[in-house]
Amino acid sequence: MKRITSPTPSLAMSKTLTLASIMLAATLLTACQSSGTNATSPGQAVSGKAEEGITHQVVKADVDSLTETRPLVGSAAELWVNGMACPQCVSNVDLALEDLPGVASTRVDLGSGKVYVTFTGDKRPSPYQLREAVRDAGNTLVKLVVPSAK
Amino acid sequence: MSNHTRIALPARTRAGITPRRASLFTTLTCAGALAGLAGLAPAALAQEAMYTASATMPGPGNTLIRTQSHIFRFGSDPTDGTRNTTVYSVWNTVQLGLARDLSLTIDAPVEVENTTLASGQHDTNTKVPDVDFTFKYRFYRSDTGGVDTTRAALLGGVKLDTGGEFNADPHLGVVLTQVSGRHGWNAELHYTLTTGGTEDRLDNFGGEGTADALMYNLAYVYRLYPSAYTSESTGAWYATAEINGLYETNSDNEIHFSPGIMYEGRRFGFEVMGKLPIYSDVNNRAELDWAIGMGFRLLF
Repeated sequence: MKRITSPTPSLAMSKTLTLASIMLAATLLTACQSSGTNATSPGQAVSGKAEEGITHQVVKADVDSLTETRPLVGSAAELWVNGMACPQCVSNVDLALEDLPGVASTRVDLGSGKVYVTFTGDKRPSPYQLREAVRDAGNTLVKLVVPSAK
Repeated sequence: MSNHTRIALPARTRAGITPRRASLFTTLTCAGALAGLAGLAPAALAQEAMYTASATMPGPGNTLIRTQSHIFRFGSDPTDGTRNTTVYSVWNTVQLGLARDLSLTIDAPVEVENTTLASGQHDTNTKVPDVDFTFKYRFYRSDTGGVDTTRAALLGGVKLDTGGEFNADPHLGVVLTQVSGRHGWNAELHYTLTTGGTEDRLDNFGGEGTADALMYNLAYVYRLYPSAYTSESTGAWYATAEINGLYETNSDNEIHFSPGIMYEGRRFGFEVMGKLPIYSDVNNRAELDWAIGMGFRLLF
């Protein structure tokens, strides 16, 4: 390979830092341009663009209800989750939810950005516990639906 | 080659690895231990190409194990006349989720070097390089859609030389990850401060001399298949392209282009990648000619 010699070390350092800055700036710009409403931020409505036009339409009441600490009632729940960027990302969600009391099984639907949870036994997690478990996994729970509430 | 202490970059991202003479027994023992560790439960380290970090990590109490095998081919070394060196390395990584947004990564590489000396003779060494401990703290996360997210994390740790003379090189970095639909970006800046090291330049394949080192990496990850996730999706194929830069305070500067293919399933993943130099201003060590690598991740 042809060797390219820089005139001085300081110039080489300058070039390097310039290149590094450009790389970071370009990525930050891309990130800022694509970032919509933060699902974790309080507001009148919380929305998130999902895979190929599938959208999580969420209102403030949905987000507020996730602070409820009383256990759920029912045998299943549907979790609307943001940030499940890839198949391996959702394994964190699986592992976190399966540690909660009463959780029998989890199924992640990447196409809709939802996680389906079934329960067994007498114990049930609260919406707050579900929200925190999803947050521990590195994602954001934006809405919780239980069959009786549909 | 002598037993010596040198600066070394975090194992996953460097071109060469700090070597130390080790017996075949030691190497096999380490390999066995790592094979045993493969039986433990890992978690996600997703959207991460081979040489650029990402702001993703296992959840609290979860563990990831990742193994990458590489062949690096280096050209002649201007400092000792070595004609060329081929390095066969295995990078073994364990990442522990310590708390929400905090993880610890331990890198323990193993390598074999085949060197053609200036005299034409061949020299082969089996080595167990130094151990690297890196904490990752995710200080920003914004999940804006089902698959869309932006995250940023600080990286900080220390490279421990457990050879003849104890030495610790601290390193500090920042990484930004952004995923939007089928497109993902990772950008990383990582600086390693040399606190020890020797003037012995043998085996320095980048960031392993006495100079401080700045890594600047950018990775683009594009989901090839499926174009859109469905309820049946359990895996995805990605094309990856990385720009991996390494500047050292002795004015050596090298930039590599690393294209690759990656598959991620729910519980496992693998990746294949090549590496070619696209810019080189190196006077204190051998330049990289090419490299190929493959890696596996087990999830259960």
